[in-house]
Amino acid sequence: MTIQILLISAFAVLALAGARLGESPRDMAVKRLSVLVVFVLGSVAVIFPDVVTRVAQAVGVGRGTDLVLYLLVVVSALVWLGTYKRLSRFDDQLTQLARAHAILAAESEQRDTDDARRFGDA
Amino acid sequence: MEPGTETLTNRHRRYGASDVAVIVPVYNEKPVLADVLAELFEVFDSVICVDDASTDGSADVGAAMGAVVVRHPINLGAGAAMQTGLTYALRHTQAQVFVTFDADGQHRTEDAVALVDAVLAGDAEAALGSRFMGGGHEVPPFRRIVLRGAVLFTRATTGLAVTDAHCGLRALSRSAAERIDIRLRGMAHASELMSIMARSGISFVELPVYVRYTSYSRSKGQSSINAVNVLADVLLQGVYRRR
Repeated sequence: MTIQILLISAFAVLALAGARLGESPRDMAVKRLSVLVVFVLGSVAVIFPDVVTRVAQAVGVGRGTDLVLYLLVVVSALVWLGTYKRLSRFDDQLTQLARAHAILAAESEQRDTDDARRFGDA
Repeated sequence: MEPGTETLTNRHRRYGASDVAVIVPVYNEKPVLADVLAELFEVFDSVICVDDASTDGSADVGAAMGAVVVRHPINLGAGAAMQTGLTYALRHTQAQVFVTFDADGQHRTEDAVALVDAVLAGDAEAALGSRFMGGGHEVPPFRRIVLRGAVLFTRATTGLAVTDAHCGLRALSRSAAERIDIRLRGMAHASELMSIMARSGISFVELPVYVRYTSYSRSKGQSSINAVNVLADVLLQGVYRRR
């Protein structure tokens, strides 16, 4: 029971915290440090498998590999959310760019139409 | 027989370019666009078509009819087209009221006139069309259930007491339009608009409108399963697409 509460709350907290991270230097640094933390934990798990087993038993999970699997699922889901957020930002930028292009072209077209009207078509 | 059919030529009021600009997002509506624009031009001087990268020559039809045509270089979606129209109209017209009007023949010009008059009279900053205010409608049954669900969701999340959250026929005052910035590109933009209106305190009234579900518009229209996408976009925007 402990592990379920831990996993679900950890995921919820991290997902909501991650949603609020932007592109500022501080937020970028936080994101990069998080990746580093995951790498470090992963390395510990590989180098010291007994540690993993003991932690697993402490939270009520049978085997170390099961704990690693659960954590992997949580990390994967957070990565998906982060990727969605980044793609949304690109999407918004693309839309703004396309809109600016469309409006510029229309302005130019309107100027040509106004000139033709004022000075007469050739 | 549609309720309230009066010929437009009976109306003597015209809405000049310094009063009203009508924004018509267009994506591949060549078979009906000329008729839709002709009907609008009977009453409105200023019509802006936003062509969302149509592939059937709709943009040229718009230009030939005398509308201003703003062309997206790539297909972005109905929401993006509407926002492009509003941005362009705010900058390049003197209009005090902006109308959003569908290009597929579902909307009636006389309903647009009623919404415009409400905003010009100062009843509210926005006048929204509603298919569910007792004016009779042709909305197909399953679609009606989905739309009622959308209304309940909108009421719950924004607190706005609407009867139709997803009708594309609206009139917006300039002050309202200036506060609107739609980011969602697809059909969910209507829900985003509701949220923006609640957040920015944009006052609104709803008026009954009659939407024509012709066989053409039904064949082209979005399937009700798109409600899944709208819900996903709205929920994800609430958490993951905040500015």
